[in-house]
Amino acid sequence: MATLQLNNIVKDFGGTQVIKGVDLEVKDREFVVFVGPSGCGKSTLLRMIAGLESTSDGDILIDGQRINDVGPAERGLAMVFQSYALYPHMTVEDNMGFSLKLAGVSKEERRQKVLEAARTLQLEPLLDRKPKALSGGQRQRVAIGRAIVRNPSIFLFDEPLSNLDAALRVQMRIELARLHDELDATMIYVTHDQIEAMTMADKIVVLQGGVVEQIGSPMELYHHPRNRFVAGFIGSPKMNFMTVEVVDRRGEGVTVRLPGGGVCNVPVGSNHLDVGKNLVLGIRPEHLVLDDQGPLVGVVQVIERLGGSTALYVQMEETEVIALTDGNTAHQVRDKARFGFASSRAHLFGADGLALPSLQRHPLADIYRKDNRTHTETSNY
Amino acid sequence: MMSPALFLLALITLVPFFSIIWMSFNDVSLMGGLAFEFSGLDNWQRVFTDPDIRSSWLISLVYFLATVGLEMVIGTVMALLVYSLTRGSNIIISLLLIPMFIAPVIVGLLGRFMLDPSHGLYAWMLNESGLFDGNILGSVGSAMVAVILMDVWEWTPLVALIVLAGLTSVPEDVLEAAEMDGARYGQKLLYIILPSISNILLVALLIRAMDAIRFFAIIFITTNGGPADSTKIIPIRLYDIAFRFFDLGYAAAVGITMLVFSIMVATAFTKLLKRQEKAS
Repeated sequence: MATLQLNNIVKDFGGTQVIKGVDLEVKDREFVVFVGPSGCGKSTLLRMIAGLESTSDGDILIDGQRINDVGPAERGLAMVFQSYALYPHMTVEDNMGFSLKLAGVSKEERRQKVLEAARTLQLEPLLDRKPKALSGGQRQRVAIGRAIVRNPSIFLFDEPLSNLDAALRVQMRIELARLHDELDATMIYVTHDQIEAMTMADKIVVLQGGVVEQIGSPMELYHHPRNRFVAGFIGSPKMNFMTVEVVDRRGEGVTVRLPGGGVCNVPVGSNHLDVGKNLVLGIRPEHLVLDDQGPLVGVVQVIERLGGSTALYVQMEETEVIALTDGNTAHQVRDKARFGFASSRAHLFGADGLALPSLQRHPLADIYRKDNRTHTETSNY
Repeated sequence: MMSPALFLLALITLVPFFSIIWMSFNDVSLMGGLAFEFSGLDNWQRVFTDPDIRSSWLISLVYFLATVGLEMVIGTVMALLVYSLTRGSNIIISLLLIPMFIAPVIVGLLGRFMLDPSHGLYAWMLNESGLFDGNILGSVGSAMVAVILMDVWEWTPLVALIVLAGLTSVPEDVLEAAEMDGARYGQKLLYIILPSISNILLVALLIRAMDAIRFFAIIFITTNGGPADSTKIIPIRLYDIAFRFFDLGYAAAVGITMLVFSIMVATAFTKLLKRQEKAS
C-alpha cells in the first residue's frame, strides 16, 4: 500500500548522464512497467528507487516522504532480481525467511509467514531444498516468495522473466498478474519485452536514453503513441513508416500523397502545416489489408507463414513494409500486392518525430488491465 | 608408451621412498663408508618414546596453530579490505604481495638484522618504548613470538590473495539482495560472504597447513631451534638428528612420521572439502 513519486530524477555516472530528469507518479496498487531498449536506463531507474544506486539529483518520495538518503532496507521495498539472486547455501525456507531473521522475528512466526507465502506460490514441497536443486521457474517463484514474505510497500521486479523459456514466461506472466490482484500491492516492473509490458501493466513508462518518451495505459500507447519511437517500440511486428507529402490541409484532418501516388485523408490535427511539406506516415502491419483497389502497391519479398496469420515483407519503392494478413493468404514471393488501410488507423509524424494529435480518441485507450480481469477475482484463473 | 616416464618416476620418487623406509629399520653409519646394520624396531620405539621428539611435536603444534590461525584471520581481513576498495586495489595488491616473493632464508636474515640487540631497528624500538628489553631471539618466549610473526609476515599475503579470488566469485546481486533484506555489513559477512567462500578458505588453510608442517628456513636462520630448544619444531629436530648427530636411521623414522602426519592432514582436508561440496 504505497505511492511513489519521482521528481526530476537524475543519475550521473562520472560525467555521463544515464537518467536525464525523470518525473513519474505511481498510484497506490498500480502495476507500472518500465520498458525500453537495452541501455535506456530502466534498470538504473529501478535500482535508484530500490536504493542500490545513489540519486545524483531530484527527489524520490514514497507515500510523500523523501527517501533519497534512506538505506535500501529501510525503504520497505522488496526486489526480485533478474538472476533471482538466491542465497546459494540456504534452503528455500531460509532464503524466504532471511529478512525476518535479520529483523529478529521469532522462529515460529518466521516459519508461519514463510509457509503462508509458500502456499500462495505452491512452493511448500520445496522448502527444504537448496536453490541448486530447483528449476528456473521454481527459483523464480522462490525469489518472488522472498519478496512477499517481507510484506513490502512496493514490489520491484528487474526483468524477472528473461531467464525463463518462452512457455514458462507466458505462465509466469499470468501468475504475476494474478499475484498482483491477490496481494493488491504497488508493483514496478522492468522489462525490455513489450509483450510483457502490454499484458501486465496498468501503466507503461517508455524510456529511451534516460528520458521518458511516454507514460500511459497499454492501449493508449498502442493507439496514441506520442512520437515515432514509442510507435515503433510498442507493437509487434514494428509499425511501418513511409515518407508522405501534405497535399491539402483544409477541412477535417490532413490529406497526404502516399508513395505510389495514392491520396489519403488522415484524421489528425493540422496546426501550422504547409502544403508540400514532408511528413512520416505510420501504419501498423496488422492494419494493412490486402485490397486490389488499395492505394499502396509493392512486390512481396519474403513470406512468413505463422499458421493463424501471414507476415508479408513487401518492397514499396524505397521502403520495405510488413503486412500482417490472415493465415490463408495465397500470395507468393515476387507477386505484386496492393494494400489499403483505414485512415483512422494511420499516424502522422512531423520532422521532429512527434505525432500529430488524433482528432478522435480510441474508445479503448483508457481501458486498464483491471478492467480485463474483474472476473478473475472469484475464479482461480 | 608410458613405461619410460614411469621408470623415471620410480627412480626419483619410489627408490628414495623405499630406501628411507629401509633406513628406518637400520642403524645407518657414514663413518668409513655407508654401513647399514639392521636394528629392527629400535628407531621406531625411540620415535614414540623420546621426550625430545614429543616436545618438538608440541612446539610444532603451537607454531602451526599460531601461524596458520593468524594468517587465516589477518589474510581474510586484508582481502575484505582490499575488496572493498573502489580504486587503487591493483597497486595495493602488488604491494601486499611483496613479502611472499622474498625467499624464507632472506626473511630470516632480515628478521635477525632487525631484531639484533645491538643495532636492530625493531629491538631498539621495543627497548625505547619499554615493551621489551633484552635479546629478543635469545630469550625463551620472545624468540617463539618473533619467528611466528616472521612467518605470518611472509605468508599472510598468500592467504589474502586466495581469499580475494574467492571474494570476486560472490555474486554482486546476491549481496544486493541481502542488503535489500536488511543485512548490515557484519551480517552480510556472516551469512553470505563467509559461507560462500568457505571452500576457498579451506583450500588456503590446506596449503598453509602443509607448508607449516615442513617449515624450516626462517627458524633455521634465526634461532636454529634455540634458545633452550624453545623453537625446535619437528623439522629442525630432524635436521639436528640427521646432520648434527648423523643418526640417519633414526632421522628416517622421524621423517616418515612427518610424512604420515602430512598425509593425514591433507586427507582430512580433502574429506572436508568434498563434504562441503556435497552440502552446497
